[in-house]
Amino acid sequence: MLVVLVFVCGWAILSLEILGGRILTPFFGSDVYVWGSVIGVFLMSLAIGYFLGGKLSKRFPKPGYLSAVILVAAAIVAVLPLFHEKVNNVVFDVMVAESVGGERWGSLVAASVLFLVPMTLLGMVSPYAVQLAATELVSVGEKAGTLYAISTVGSFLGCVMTSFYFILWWHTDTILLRTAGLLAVVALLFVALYPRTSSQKKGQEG
Amino acid sequence: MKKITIILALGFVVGVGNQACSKTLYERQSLYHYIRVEGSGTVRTLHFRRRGTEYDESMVDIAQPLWLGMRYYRLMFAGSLFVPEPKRVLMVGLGGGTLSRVTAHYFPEAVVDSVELDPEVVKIAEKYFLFRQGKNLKVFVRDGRVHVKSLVRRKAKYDIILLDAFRGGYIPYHLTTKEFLEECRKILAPGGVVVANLWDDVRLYEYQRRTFARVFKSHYAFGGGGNKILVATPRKVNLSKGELYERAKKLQKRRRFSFEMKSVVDEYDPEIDYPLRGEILVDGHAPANILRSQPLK
Repeated sequence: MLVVLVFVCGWAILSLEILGGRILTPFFGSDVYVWGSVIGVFLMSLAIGYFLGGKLSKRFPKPGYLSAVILVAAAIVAVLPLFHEKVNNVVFDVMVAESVGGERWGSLVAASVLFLVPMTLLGMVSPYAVQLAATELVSVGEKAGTLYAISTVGSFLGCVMTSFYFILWWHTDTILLRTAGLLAVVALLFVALYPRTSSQKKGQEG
Repeated sequence: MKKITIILALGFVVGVGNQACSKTLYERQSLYHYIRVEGSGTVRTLHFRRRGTEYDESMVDIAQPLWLGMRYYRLMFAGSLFVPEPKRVLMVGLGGGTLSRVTAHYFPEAVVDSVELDPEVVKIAEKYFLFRQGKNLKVFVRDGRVHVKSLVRRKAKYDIILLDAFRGGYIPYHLTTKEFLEECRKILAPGGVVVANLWDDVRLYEYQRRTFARVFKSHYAFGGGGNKILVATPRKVNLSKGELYERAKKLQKRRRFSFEMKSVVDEYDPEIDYPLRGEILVDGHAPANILRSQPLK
Protein backbone atom coordinates (compact mmCIF):
# COMPACT_ATOMS: atom_id res chain seq x y z
CA MET A 1 0.00 0.00 0.00
CA LEU A 2 2.87 2.32 0.83
CA VAL A 3 4.18 1.61 -2.64
CA VAL A 4 0.93 2.75 -4.27
CA LEU A 5 0.90 5.84 -2.12
CA VAL A 6 4.38 7.05 -3.04
CA PHE A 7 3.78 6.18 -6.69
CA VAL A 8 0.62 8.29 -6.86
CA CYS A 9 2.19 11.19 -4.97
CA GLY A 10 5.20 11.11 -7.29
CA TRP A 11 2.83 11.07 -10.25
CA ALA A 12 0.86 14.03 -8.88
CA ILE A 13 3.94 16.17 -8.25
CA LEU A 14 5.19 16.10 -11.82
CA SER A 15 1.74 16.18 -13.34
CA LEU A 16 1.07 19.38 -11.39
CA GLU A 17 4.41 20.78 -12.45
CA ILE A 18 3.44 20.47 -16.12
CA LEU A 19 0.06 22.03 -15.38
CA GLY A 20 1.84 24.82 -13.49
CA GLY A 21 3.63 25.87 -16.67
CA ARG A 22 0.36 25.76 -18.56
CA ILE A 23 -1.39 27.90 -15.94
CA LEU A 24 1.30 30.58 -15.86
CA THR A 25 1.90 30.91 -19.62
CA PRO A 26 -1.14 33.07 -20.49
CA PHE A 27 0.06 35.61 -17.94
CA PHE A 28 3.82 35.43 -18.09
CA GLY A 29 4.55 33.99 -21.53
CA SER A 30 5.82 30.60 -22.60
CA ASP A 31 9.43 31.54 -22.09
CA VAL A 32 12.08 29.44 -20.37
CA TYR A 33 11.87 31.58 -17.23
CA VAL A 34 8.30 30.40 -16.69
CA TRP A 35 9.57 26.82 -16.63
CA GLY A 36 12.50 27.93 -14.50
CA SER A 37 10.09 29.43 -11.99
CA VAL A 38 7.85 26.39 -11.88
CA ILE A 39 10.69 23.89 -11.58
CA GLY A 40 12.49 26.06 -9.03
CA VAL A 41 9.43 26.48 -6.84
CA PHE A 42 8.67 22.77 -7.03
CA LEU A 43 12.20 21.81 -6.00
CA MET A 44 12.22 24.33 -3.16
CA SER A 45 8.85 23.05 -1.97
CA LEU A 46 10.07 19.47 -2.08
CA ALA A 47 13.15 20.44 -0.07
CA ILE A 48 10.97 22.00 2.62
CA GLY A 49 8.61 19.04 2.42
CA TYR A 50 11.39 16.48 2.85
CA PHE A 51 12.66 18.34 5.89
CA LEU A 52 9.28 18.80 7.56
CA GLY A 53 8.14 15.32 6.56
CA GLY A 54 11.16 13.84 8.22
CA LYS A 55 10.55 15.80 11.42
CA LEU A 56 6.85 15.03 11.52
CA SER A 57 7.39 11.33 10.85
CA LYS A 58 9.67 11.16 13.89
CA ARG A 59 7.07 12.71 16.18
CA PHE A 60 3.98 11.03 14.74
CA PRO A 61 4.94 7.84 12.94
CA LYS A 62 1.38 6.89 12.11
CA PRO A 63 -0.29 6.34 8.75
CA GLY A 64 -3.19 8.57 9.77
CA TYR A 65 -0.95 11.65 9.86
CA LEU A 66 0.54 10.85 6.47
CA SER A 67 -2.93 10.40 5.08
CA ALA A 68 -4.02 13.74 6.51
CA VAL A 69 -1.07 15.52 4.92
CA ILE A 70 -2.02 14.12 1.50
CA LEU A 71 -5.70 14.96 1.99
CA VAL A 72 -4.85 18.59 2.73
CA ALA A 73 -2.66 18.72 -0.38
CA ALA A 74 -5.50 17.19 -2.42
CA ALA A 75 -7.93 19.76 -1.04
CA ILE A 76 -5.66 22.65 -2.06
CA VAL A 77 -5.15 21.19 -5.54
CA ALA A 78 -8.92 20.75 -5.85
CA VAL A 79 -9.57 24.44 -5.17
CA LEU A 80 -6.72 25.72 -7.38
CA PRO A 81 -9.13 26.07 -10.36
CA LEU A 82 -11.09 28.59 -8.29
CA PHE A 83 -8.23 30.97 -7.72
CA HIS A 84 -5.25 30.42 -10.02
CA GLU A 85 -6.54 32.98 -12.49
CA LYS A 86 -7.19 35.53 -9.76
CA VAL A 87 -3.72 35.06 -8.28
CA ASN A 88 -2.12 35.39 -11.70
CA ASN A 89 -4.14 38.54 -12.39
CA VAL A 90 -3.07 40.19 -9.16
CA VAL A 91 0.59 39.27 -9.63
CA PHE A 92 0.41 40.48 -13.24
CA ASP A 93 -1.08 43.83 -12.22
CA VAL A 94 1.44 44.42 -9.47
CA MET A 95 4.62 43.08 -11.05
CA VAL A 96 4.26 42.84 -14.80
CA ALA A 97 1.81 45.32 -16.31
CA GLU A 98 3.95 48.39 -15.78
CA SER A 99 7.43 46.94 -15.80
CA VAL A 100 9.11 45.31 -18.76
CA GLY A 101 10.88 42.19 -17.60
CA GLY A 102 8.57 41.89 -14.60
CA GLU A 103 7.25 38.64 -16.05
CA ARG A 104 10.33 36.81 -14.76
CA TRP A 105 9.93 37.57 -11.08
CA GLY A 106 6.18 37.68 -11.53
CA SER A 107 6.11 34.09 -12.70
CA LEU A 108 8.26 33.07 -9.74
CA VAL A 109 5.95 34.79 -7.28
CA ALA A 110 2.81 33.38 -8.89
CA ALA A 111 4.30 29.88 -8.96
CA SER A 112 5.16 30.20 -5.27
CA VAL A 113 1.74 31.42 -4.23
CA LEU A 114 -0.01 28.68 -6.18
CA PHE A 115 2.24 25.69 -5.58
CA LEU A 116 4.53 26.16 -2.59
CA VAL A 117 2.08 24.83 0.00
CA PRO A 118 0.60 21.82 -1.84
CA MET A 119 4.02 20.75 -3.13
CA THR A 120 5.57 21.05 0.32
CA LEU A 121 2.84 18.77 1.63
CA LEU A 122 3.43 16.25 -1.15
CA GLY A 123 7.18 16.47 -0.50
CA MET A 124 6.54 15.27 3.05
CA VAL A 125 5.28 11.93 1.77
CA SER A 126 8.59 10.26 0.88
CA PRO A 127 10.43 10.59 4.22
CA TYR A 128 7.22 9.73 6.00
CA ALA A 129 6.83 6.59 3.92
CA VAL A 130 10.43 5.62 4.66
CA GLN A 131 9.75 6.03 8.37
CA LEU A 132 6.70 3.79 8.20
CA ALA A 133 8.48 1.21 6.07
CA ALA A 134 11.60 1.09 8.22
CA THR A 135 10.97 -1.82 10.47
CA GLU A 136 14.57 -2.74 11.04
CA LEU A 137 17.65 -0.62 10.93
CA VAL A 138 19.72 -2.83 8.64
CA SER A 139 17.34 -2.41 5.68
CA VAL A 140 16.51 1.30 5.96
CA GLY A 141 18.66 2.21 2.98
CA GLU A 142 17.14 -0.51 0.87
CA LYS A 143 13.58 0.44 1.76
CA ALA A 144 14.29 4.13 1.17
CA GLY A 145 15.86 3.32 -2.18
CA THR A 146 12.88 1.26 -3.30
CA LEU A 147 10.35 3.89 -2.25
CA TYR A 148 12.25 6.75 -3.89
CA ALA A 149 12.58 4.72 -7.06
CA ILE A 150 8.86 4.00 -7.16
CA SER A 151 7.99 7.58 -6.38
CA THR A 152 10.25 8.80 -9.17
CA VAL A 153 8.85 6.31 -11.68
CA GLY A 154 5.45 7.72 -10.73
CA SER A 155 6.81 11.21 -11.39
CA PHE A 156 8.11 10.15 -14.78
CA LEU A 157 4.79 8.68 -15.82
CA GLY A 158 2.80 11.60 -14.41
CA CYS A 159 5.00 14.00 -16.33
CA VAL A 160 4.78 12.12 -19.62
CA MET A 161 1.09 11.30 -19.45
CA THR A 162 0.17 14.89 -18.57
CA SER A 163 2.32 16.58 -21.17
CA PHE A 164 1.73 14.05 -23.96
CA TYR A 165 -1.93 13.24 -23.46
CA PHE A 166 -3.92 14.84 -20.66
CA ILE A 167 -3.24 18.36 -21.87
CA LEU A 168 -4.59 17.37 -25.28
CA TRP A 169 -7.61 15.56 -23.95
CA TRP A 170 -8.78 17.66 -21.03
CA HIS A 171 -9.00 21.16 -19.69
CA THR A 172 -6.26 22.08 -17.21
CA ASP A 173 -8.80 22.50 -14.42
CA THR A 174 -10.24 19.06 -15.13
CA ILE A 175 -6.79 17.53 -14.78
CA LEU A 176 -6.26 19.42 -11.51
CA LEU A 177 -9.54 18.07 -10.12
CA ARG A 178 -8.80 14.52 -11.24
CA THR A 179 -5.33 14.64 -9.73
CA ALA A 180 -6.81 15.92 -6.47
CA GLY A 181 -9.39 13.14 -6.56
CA LEU A 182 -6.75 10.52 -7.16
CA LEU A 183 -4.67 11.79 -4.23
CA ALA A 184 -7.70 11.83 -1.94
CA VAL A 185 -8.81 8.33 -2.86
CA VAL A 186 -5.34 6.89 -2.37
CA ALA A 187 -4.89 8.71 0.95
CA LEU A 188 -8.20 7.35 2.24
CA LEU A 189 -7.52 3.83 1.01
CA PHE A 190 -4.13 4.00 2.61
CA VAL A 191 -5.40 4.91 6.03
CA ALA A 192 -8.17 2.30 5.75
CA LEU A 193 -5.98 -0.55 4.58
CA TYR A 194 -2.60 0.08 6.14
CA PRO A 195 -1.93 -2.49 8.86
CA ARG A 196 -2.17 -0.47 12.01
CA THR A 197 -0.50 -2.94 14.23
CA SER A 198 2.48 -3.58 12.05
CA SER A 199 5.79 -3.25 13.70
CA GLN A 200 6.16 0.53 13.55
CA LYS A 201 7.88 2.18 16.39
CA LYS A 202 5.43 3.02 19.08
CA GLY A 203 3.99 6.46 18.74
CA GLN A 204 2.54 8.56 21.49
CA GLU A 205 -0.43 6.29 21.86
CA GLY A 206 -3.39 7.45 24.03
CA MET B 1 5.05 34.32 -41.87
CA LYS B 2 5.09 31.34 -44.04
CA LYS B 3 5.79 28.61 -45.23
CA ILE B 4 7.66 25.58 -46.13
CA THR B 5 10.88 25.42 -48.02
CA ILE B 6 12.24 21.99 -47.35
CA ILE B 7 15.97 21.66 -47.41
CA LEU B 8 16.58 18.78 -49.74
CA ALA B 9 18.98 16.07 -48.78
CA LEU B 10 21.31 16.99 -51.59
CA GLY B 11 21.86 20.28 -49.91
CA PHE B 12 20.42 22.71 -52.36
CA VAL B 13 17.71 25.06 -51.33
CA VAL B 14 14.54 25.68 -53.24
CA GLY B 15 15.30 29.05 -54.68
CA VAL B 16 13.58 32.35 -54.25
CA GLY B 17 12.67 34.32 -57.34
CA ASN B 18 14.75 33.76 -60.40
CA GLN B 19 18.15 34.66 -59.03
CA ALA B 20 20.37 31.71 -59.61
CA CYS B 21 22.64 31.61 -56.60
CA SER B 22 21.65 32.16 -53.02
CA LYS B 23 23.87 32.37 -50.02
CA THR B 24 23.52 32.40 -46.29
CA LEU B 25 24.11 35.85 -44.84
CA TYR B 26 23.48 34.93 -41.24
CA GLU B 27 22.90 31.71 -39.37
CA ARG B 28 22.55 31.28 -35.66
CA GLN B 29 20.58 29.63 -32.93
CA SER B 30 19.01 32.41 -30.89
CA LEU B 31 17.33 31.93 -27.54
CA TYR B 32 14.14 31.01 -29.39
CA HIS B 33 14.82 30.10 -32.98
CA TYR B 34 17.29 28.59 -35.36
CA ILE B 35 17.56 31.61 -37.62
CA ARG B 36 18.93 31.81 -41.13
CA VAL B 37 18.97 34.82 -43.41
CA GLU B 38 19.35 33.93 -47.04
CA GLY B 39 20.39 36.37 -49.72
CA SER B 40 19.64 35.83 -53.37
CA GLY B 41 20.53 38.80 -55.51
CA THR B 42 18.85 41.72 -53.80
CA VAL B 43 16.22 39.53 -52.15
CA ARG B 44 16.63 38.48 -48.54
CA THR B 45 14.57 35.88 -46.78
CA LEU B 46 14.33 35.19 -43.07
CA HIS B 47 13.96 31.51 -42.18
CA PHE B 48 13.26 29.85 -38.89
CA ARG B 49 14.17 26.20 -38.93
CA ARG B 50 12.29 23.56 -37.03
CA ARG B 51 12.73 19.81 -37.31
CA GLY B 52 14.63 20.00 -40.57
CA THR B 53 12.02 22.21 -42.20
CA GLU B 54 12.63 25.84 -42.94
CA TYR B 55 9.74 28.22 -42.60
CA ASP B 56 9.94 31.48 -44.50
CA GLU B 57 9.11 34.20 -42.04
CA SER B 58 9.87 37.37 -43.88
CA MET B 59 11.19 38.73 -47.15
CA VAL B 60 12.62 41.94 -48.51
CA ASP B 61 14.07 43.14 -51.79
CA ILE B 62 16.63 45.75 -50.82
CA ALA B 63 16.44 47.21 -54.33
CA GLN B 64 12.67 47.75 -53.98
CA PRO B 65 11.90 48.27 -50.32
CA LEU B 66 8.14 48.37 -50.90
CA TRP B 67 8.00 45.05 -52.74
CA LEU B 68 5.74 42.63 -50.90
CA GLY B 69 7.46 39.37 -51.67
CA MET B 70 5.31 37.01 -49.70
CA ARG B 71 1.88 36.33 -51.04
CA TYR B 72 0.10 36.91 -47.77
CA TYR B 73 1.70 40.32 -47.11
CA ARG B 74 -0.65 42.06 -49.52
CA LEU B 75 -3.65 40.38 -47.91
CA MET B 76 -2.61 41.63 -44.47
CA PHE B 77 -3.52 45.10 -45.77
CA ALA B 78 -7.17 44.00 -45.93
CA GLY B 79 -7.61 45.58 -42.49
CA SER B 80 -7.36 49.02 -44.06
CA LEU B 81 -10.50 48.30 -46.11
CA PHE B 82 -12.30 48.46 -42.78
CA VAL B 83 -10.20 51.18 -41.15
CA PRO B 84 -9.02 53.40 -44.01
CA GLU B 85 -7.49 55.99 -41.69
CA PRO B 86 -5.76 54.03 -38.93
CA LYS B 87 -4.05 56.11 -36.27
CA ARG B 88 -2.54 53.25 -34.30
CA VAL B 89 -1.51 49.83 -35.54
CA LEU B 90 -0.21 46.92 -33.44
CA MET B 91 1.77 44.11 -35.03
CA VAL B 92 2.21 40.94 -32.96
CA GLY B 93 5.25 39.10 -34.35
CA LEU B 94 7.81 41.30 -36.11
CA GLY B 95 9.85 38.87 -38.19
CA GLY B 96 11.91 40.85 -40.68
CA GLY B 97 9.67 43.81 -39.99
CA THR B 98 8.61 44.16 -43.63
CA LEU B 99 4.90 44.36 -42.86
CA SER B 100 5.37 46.89 -40.06
CA ARG B 101 7.76 48.97 -42.14
CA VAL B 102 5.59 49.00 -45.27
CA THR B 103 2.47 49.71 -43.21
CA ALA B 104 4.22 52.70 -41.65
CA HIS B 105 5.21 53.84 -45.15
CA TYR B 106 1.69 53.80 -46.57
CA PHE B 107 0.12 55.18 -43.40
CA PRO B 108 2.67 57.82 -42.41
CA GLU B 109 0.28 59.49 -39.98
CA ALA B 110 -0.14 56.26 -38.02
CA VAL B 111 1.90 54.92 -35.12
CA VAL B 112 2.94 51.34 -35.85
CA ASP B 113 3.95 49.40 -32.73
CA SER B 114 5.33 45.89 -33.01
CA VAL B 115 5.89 43.30 -30.34
CA GLU B 116 8.52 40.62 -30.86
CA LEU B 117 9.65 37.91 -28.49
CA ASP B 118 13.18 37.44 -29.77
CA PRO B 119 15.65 40.34 -29.43
CA GLU B 120 17.88 38.67 -32.03
CA VAL B 121 15.05 38.88 -34.58
CA VAL B 122 14.82 42.64 -34.00
CA LYS B 123 18.56 42.98 -34.62
CA ILE B 124 18.29 40.97 -37.82
CA ALA B 125 15.33 43.03 -39.03
CA GLU B 126 17.45 46.14 -38.58
CA LYS B 127 20.60 44.71 -40.08
CA TYR B 128 19.24 42.81 -43.08
CA PHE B 129 15.64 43.85 -43.69
CA LEU B 130 15.78 47.65 -43.90
CA PHE B 131 13.84 47.95 -40.68
CA ARG B 132 14.51 51.15 -38.74
CA GLN B 133 12.85 52.03 -35.49
CA GLY B 134 11.63 55.57 -35.22
CA LYS B 135 9.00 57.76 -33.67
CA ASN B 136 6.18 56.04 -35.53
CA LEU B 137 7.74 52.61 -35.78
CA LYS B 138 8.60 51.02 -32.46
CA VAL B 139 9.33 47.50 -31.31
CA PHE B 140 8.65 46.13 -27.87
CA VAL B 141 10.67 43.02 -27.07
CA ARG B 142 8.27 40.89 -25.12
CA ASP B 143 5.96 37.94 -25.30
CA GLY B 144 2.94 38.99 -27.39
CA ARG B 145 0.42 37.79 -24.84
CA VAL B 146 2.14 39.53 -21.94
CA HIS B 147 2.37 42.74 -23.97
CA VAL B 148 -1.28 42.73 -25.04
CA LYS B 149 -2.37 42.00 -21.49
CA SER B 150 -0.40 44.97 -20.19
CA LEU B 151 -1.90 47.13 -22.96
CA VAL B 152 -5.33 46.12 -21.66
CA ARG B 153 -4.31 47.29 -18.19
CA ARG B 154 -3.05 50.57 -19.62
CA LYS B 155 -6.28 50.98 -21.58
CA ALA B 156 -4.32 51.43 -24.80
CA LYS B 157 -6.33 51.44 -28.06
CA TYR B 158 -5.40 50.36 -31.55
CA ASP B 159 -7.31 50.64 -34.82
CA ILE B 160 -5.72 47.62 -36.44
CA ILE B 161 -4.12 44.66 -34.65
CA LEU B 162 -2.15 42.30 -36.89
CA LEU B 163 -1.56 38.81 -35.52
CA ASP B 164 1.35 37.06 -37.17
CA ALA B 165 3.37 35.28 -34.49
CA PHE B 166 4.88 31.94 -35.37
CA ARG B 167 8.01 30.21 -34.24
CA GLY B 168 9.06 28.31 -37.32
CA GLY B 169 5.88 26.32 -37.68
CA TYR B 170 5.33 26.20 -33.96
CA ILE B 171 2.26 28.11 -32.89
CA PRO B 172 2.47 29.84 -29.51
CA TYR B 173 -0.74 28.34 -28.12
CA HIS B 174 -1.39 31.20 -25.72
CA LEU B 175 -1.81 33.48 -28.75
CA THR B 176 -4.67 31.40 -30.16
CA THR B 177 -7.11 31.26 -27.27
CA LYS B 178 -10.45 32.92 -26.66
CA GLU B 179 -8.98 34.75 -23.68
CA PHE B 180 -6.21 36.22 -25.85
CA LEU B 181 -8.66 37.33 -28.54
CA GLU B 182 -10.80 38.94 -25.84
CA GLU B 183 -7.76 40.87 -24.69
CA CYS B 184 -7.17 41.98 -28.28
CA ARG B 185 -10.80 43.05 -28.52
CA LYS B 186 -10.40 45.14 -25.38
CA ILE B 187 -7.60 47.18 -26.90
CA LEU B 188 -9.45 47.86 -30.14
CA ALA B 189 -10.51 51.45 -30.73
CA PRO B 190 -14.14 51.88 -31.85
CA GLY B 191 -14.41 50.51 -35.38
CA GLY B 192 -11.09 48.72 -35.03
CA VAL B 193 -10.26 45.32 -36.52
CA VAL B 194 -8.07 42.33 -35.79
CA VAL B 195 -6.27 40.89 -38.81
CA ALA B 196 -4.92 37.38 -38.35
CA ASN B 197 -2.70 35.22 -40.52
CA LEU B 198 -4.08 31.67 -40.28
CA TRP B 199 -2.98 28.45 -41.92
CA ASP B 200 -6.10 27.07 -43.53
CA ASP B 201 -4.80 23.63 -44.43
CA VAL B 202 -4.61 22.22 -40.91
CA ARG B 203 -7.21 21.19 -38.34
CA LEU B 204 -6.16 24.09 -36.10
CA TYR B 205 -7.77 26.45 -38.64
CA GLU B 206 -11.27 25.23 -37.82
CA TYR B 207 -10.67 25.69 -34.10
CA GLN B 208 -9.25 29.15 -34.65
CA ARG B 209 -12.18 30.20 -36.81
CA ARG B 210 -14.66 29.02 -34.19
CA THR B 211 -12.68 30.80 -31.48
CA PHE B 212 -12.71 34.03 -33.51
CA ALA B 213 -16.44 33.55 -34.12
CA ARG B 214 -16.98 33.38 -30.36
CA VAL B 215 -15.21 36.68 -29.71
CA PHE B 216 -15.94 38.75 -32.83
CA LYS B 217 -19.21 39.49 -34.61
CA SER B 218 -18.10 39.82 -38.23
CA HIS B 219 -15.43 37.96 -40.15
CA TYR B 220 -14.01 38.55 -43.59
CA ALA B 221 -11.58 35.99 -44.96
CA PHE B 222 -9.11 36.66 -47.75
CA GLY B 223 -6.95 34.26 -49.72
CA GLY B 224 -6.61 30.58 -48.98
CA GLY B 225 -4.70 27.51 -49.97
CA GLY B 226 -2.08 27.97 -47.30
CA ASN B 227 -2.51 31.36 -45.71
CA LYS B 228 -5.92 32.70 -44.99
CA ILE B 229 -6.14 36.22 -43.70
CA LEU B 230 -9.03 36.86 -41.38
CA VAL B 231 -10.34 40.33 -40.61
CA ALA B 232 -12.52 40.29 -37.50
CA THR B 233 -14.59 43.06 -35.98
CA PRO B 234 -16.20 43.23 -32.52
CA ARG B 235 -19.41 44.68 -33.98
CA LYS B 236 -21.49 43.58 -36.90
CA VAL B 237 -20.18 45.02 -40.15
CA ASN B 238 -22.06 44.40 -43.37
CA LEU B 239 -20.09 45.02 -46.49
CA SER B 240 -20.73 43.40 -49.84
CA LYS B 241 -17.95 42.48 -52.20
CA GLY B 242 -19.06 45.43 -54.33
CA GLU B 243 -18.67 47.80 -51.39
CA LEU B 244 -15.25 46.36 -50.64
CA TYR B 245 -14.26 47.09 -54.25
CA GLU B 246 -15.48 50.65 -53.81
CA ARG B 247 -13.38 51.06 -50.70
CA ALA B 248 -10.37 49.43 -52.36
CA LYS B 249 -10.60 51.92 -55.20
CA LYS B 250 -10.67 54.93 -52.87
CA LEU B 251 -7.90 53.50 -50.75
CA GLN B 252 -5.72 52.81 -53.76
CA LYS B 253 -6.16 56.39 -54.93
CA ARG B 254 -5.34 57.86 -51.56
CA ARG B 255 -2.47 55.54 -50.53
CA ARG B 256 -0.93 54.59 -53.86
CA PHE B 257 0.01 51.07 -52.85
CA SER B 258 2.64 49.30 -54.92
CA PHE B 259 0.14 46.46 -55.28
CA GLU B 260 -3.46 46.61 -56.38
CA MET B 261 -5.83 46.79 -53.41
CA LYS B 262 -8.46 45.49 -55.80
CA SER B 263 -6.54 42.22 -56.02
CA VAL B 264 -6.97 41.80 -52.26
CA VAL B 265 -10.73 42.09 -52.64
CA ASP B 266 -10.53 39.61 -55.54
CA GLU B 267 -9.42 37.11 -52.95
CA TYR B 268 -12.26 37.84 -50.55
CA ASP B 269 -13.85 34.50 -49.73
CA PRO B 270 -17.26 34.76 -48.03
CA GLU B 271 -17.71 31.00 -47.88
CA ILE B 272 -17.89 29.43 -44.42
CA ASP B 273 -15.21 26.79 -44.76
CA TYR B 274 -15.23 25.34 -41.25
CA PRO B 275 -17.73 23.45 -39.09
CA LEU B 276 -19.54 25.99 -36.91
CA ARG B 277 -20.11 23.51 -34.14
CA GLY B 278 -17.21 22.12 -32.22
CA GLU B 279 -14.58 22.94 -29.68
CA ILE B 280 -12.83 26.26 -29.39
CA LEU B 281 -9.42 27.10 -27.98
CA VAL B 282 -9.26 28.36 -24.39
CA ASP B 283 -6.32 28.98 -22.06
CA GLY B 284 -7.07 25.81 -20.13
CA HIS B 285 -7.32 23.68 -23.25
CA ALA B 286 -5.54 24.68 -26.44
CA PRO B 287 -3.68 21.76 -28.06
CA ALA B 288 -2.66 24.09 -30.87
CA ASN B 289 0.41 22.29 -32.10
CA ILE B 290 -1.21 18.87 -32.31
CA LEU B 291 -4.07 20.43 -34.28
CA ARG B 292 -1.56 22.20 -36.47
CA SER B 293 0.05 18.89 -37.34
CA GLN B 294 -3.24 17.41 -38.56
CA PRO B 295 -3.81 18.26 -42.20
CA LEU B 296 -7.30 19.00 -43.50
CA LYS B 297 -8.33 17.01 -46.54
